[in-house]
Amino acid sequence: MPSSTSRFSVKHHTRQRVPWFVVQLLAATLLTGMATAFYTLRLNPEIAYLRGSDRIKRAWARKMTLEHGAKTILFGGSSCEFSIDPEQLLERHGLPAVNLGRNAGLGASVLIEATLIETRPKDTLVMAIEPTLLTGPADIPMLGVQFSFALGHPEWVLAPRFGRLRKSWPAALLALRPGGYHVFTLLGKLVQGRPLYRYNTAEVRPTGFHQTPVRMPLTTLTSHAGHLHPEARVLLEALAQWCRSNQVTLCYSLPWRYTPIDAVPAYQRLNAGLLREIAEYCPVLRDEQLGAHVVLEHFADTEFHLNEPGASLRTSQLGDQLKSGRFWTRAELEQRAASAKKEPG
Amino acid sequence: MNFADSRFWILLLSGLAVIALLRIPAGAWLGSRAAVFDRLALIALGLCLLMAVSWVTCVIFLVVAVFSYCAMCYLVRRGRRHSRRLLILFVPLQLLPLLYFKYADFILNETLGGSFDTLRGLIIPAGISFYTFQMMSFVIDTLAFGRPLPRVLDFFNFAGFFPQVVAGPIERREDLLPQMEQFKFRWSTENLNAGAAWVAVGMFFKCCLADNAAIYVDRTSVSNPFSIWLANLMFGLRIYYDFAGYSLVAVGLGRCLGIRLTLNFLSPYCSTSIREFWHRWHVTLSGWFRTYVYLPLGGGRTRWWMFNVAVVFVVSGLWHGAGWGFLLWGTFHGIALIVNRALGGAIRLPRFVAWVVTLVAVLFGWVFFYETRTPDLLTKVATLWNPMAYTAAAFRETLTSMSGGHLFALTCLLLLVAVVWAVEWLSVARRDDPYCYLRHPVAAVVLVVLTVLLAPGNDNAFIYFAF
Repeated sequence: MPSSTSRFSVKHHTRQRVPWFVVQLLAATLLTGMATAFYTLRLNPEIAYLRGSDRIKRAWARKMTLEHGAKTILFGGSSCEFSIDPEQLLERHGLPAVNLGRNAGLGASVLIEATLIETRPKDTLVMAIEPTLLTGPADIPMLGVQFSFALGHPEWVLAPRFGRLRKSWPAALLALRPGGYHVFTLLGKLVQGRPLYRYNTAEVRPTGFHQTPVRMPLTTLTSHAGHLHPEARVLLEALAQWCRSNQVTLCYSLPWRYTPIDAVPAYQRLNAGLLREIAEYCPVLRDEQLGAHVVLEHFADTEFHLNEPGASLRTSQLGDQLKSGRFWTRAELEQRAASAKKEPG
Repeated sequence: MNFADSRFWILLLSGLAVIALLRIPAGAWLGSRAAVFDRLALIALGLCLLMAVSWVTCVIFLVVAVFSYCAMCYLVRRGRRHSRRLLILFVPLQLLPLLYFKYADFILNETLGGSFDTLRGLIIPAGISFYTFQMMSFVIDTLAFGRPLPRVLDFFNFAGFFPQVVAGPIERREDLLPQMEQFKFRWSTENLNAGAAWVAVGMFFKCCLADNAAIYVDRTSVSNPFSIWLANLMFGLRIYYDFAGYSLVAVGLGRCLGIRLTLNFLSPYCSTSIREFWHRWHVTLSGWFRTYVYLPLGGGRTRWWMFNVAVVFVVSGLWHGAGWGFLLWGTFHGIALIVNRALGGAIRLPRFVAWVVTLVAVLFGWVFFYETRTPDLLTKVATLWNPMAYTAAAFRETLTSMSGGHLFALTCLLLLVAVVWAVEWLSVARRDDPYCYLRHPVAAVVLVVLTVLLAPGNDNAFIYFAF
């Protein structure tokens, strides 16, 4: 059988005590690692966007605290960022609010940590995290690690206050790399002369609400497992506890997803089951659509990103729910999970 | 023992540092018997690394190893004549943990319709198939060929050498035991340099190629032949670079410690026949089946050689996992090999055509391997065989099922794979030394840079841990 002995191998100097080839490989690893970390934290267009939008969002949050005292914080993934307009909430519903929605790719725990630094006692936290982040496999994604380090908060992933997931220092440092998909698509964009990232901070309103001129056909519809992941339960429990001890009101609002009319009952049934589980930890705002929105014209570039008219409708309904304090009861959600025959309006 | 996990390397380097520190007083105290300390330390390091995988893995390994050694001692004392007969009783006992963890659910519940709930969802201890087969071959070689009983430390180091214990290569007594008997922790510049080159290639295969390919293994389509072929291709790339990557890192780590392990992969996708493929794919398992199943059945020189081949491949399929898909995968390769052997002399294809035919056959076979849902598997096979399914619309659907970014990234990945294949092909064609050009100092540095740059960073355990 062939063994690992090779006729073609590294030249060796038998008298050498230092394995210079190993040193070369280690040096190449270290230097490439440092270069990729620098790129990731300083030059990566997605991280640059996230850093820029974070500055805008946090400035508005501070302004709201300063001017109104208590405020409403809307947070979650990009479905939140693109769908809820705090300006409209303030003007039409009298609710001082900030949109701290970011990228769902950051992961639930980083989204929460990044929100809580601007949360003050008496604030209302509206958690509009995408169901996939609460039902899917639990891990802190690379983007979450990169974002935490780029913002100077490595503790969000190294020693997070919520949940059991954490990264070790070596694992976190290894996450400060772009990865194949990023490098390949970046090359493609450079070759084609396209913008390096789909979004830019100029599109982000001072309130944190984001609208994009990009329009894409909705080819795939993301679904979810329908049940809270055990890690998500730990996270929600810890968050609810933190809110109680810091006099913060917490509630959940399910993001809208484009749903073809014939798929509405099944999707609502799925969501109702999930909401029933979330309701064990915090009140769930009573959105009669149960996350299924059938108007295709209300969506921009993904099945979760609403355009201006869509966001206006979503914000208006959310404002009503918040003002009137309309929440689902667990029994109602149980019933909807079992039947969900009702079509949305 | 996940080489792609930073924790493994931290634990390994910490363990080696502790051994180096302890070795100074141990050397002074033990004098000329310091080698005993080295062999003991190697076992301890291996067990610590196994324990880091899970305590169950470590305990099951110890049970199989202790039982194998004790039974071997007993049988040797009974004399060669008796021991050969007792082997028939002993080998199934050695296989018991493997049968329980891997096959009990499939045989008792799925095949015989039983309802043994405790067997459902059993987690297979990492590496059980590998070390059980390695110890089986050791016991058979020792008893059947009258070899001397090894010292207990050497046997444990043979059975549990940490780079290869969980995913091979499955070593034979004559290859590994003599090295273990002479084992010493030595600072060898030559070994460290050579080992590092293998590790660099292995990590590139696993972290860069396999983990990026894994992103594009989409098993959802059952009616679009182009999507199924794409899934087969990506799965084929993933499993090869994943397993070969692991094996090469194992070879490299072994080499750093002065142990030469067998190369488990010899650029199998360069093969121009199924026969050649099986000489290049998972070499040590193929060798194991050849020595302990195929040759005892009569090998290829009997009238029923087709039956012998079929038995070997069906068993090989089942070795990979308890499921109908694995059985069909083994059967498919068995048939392909029989056809190859029967027609090989009569039909001579141009080398390029033979390579394409072999590659297509191997890629087709992967559908049996990855599709665990039997109804979907049958539909997919029917789709692949149906010429009417190959329509322009289906092709467009495959392309549009991915976003522009994904399609471009996939194209780039396939281009990178094509370059690596070309280099592998050159290594085999020019020097008959797989991966030699990839281990060239300059190439290895490039591979390290590419690995750091392109590895996706998702937690992808090695596929073969599941076997």
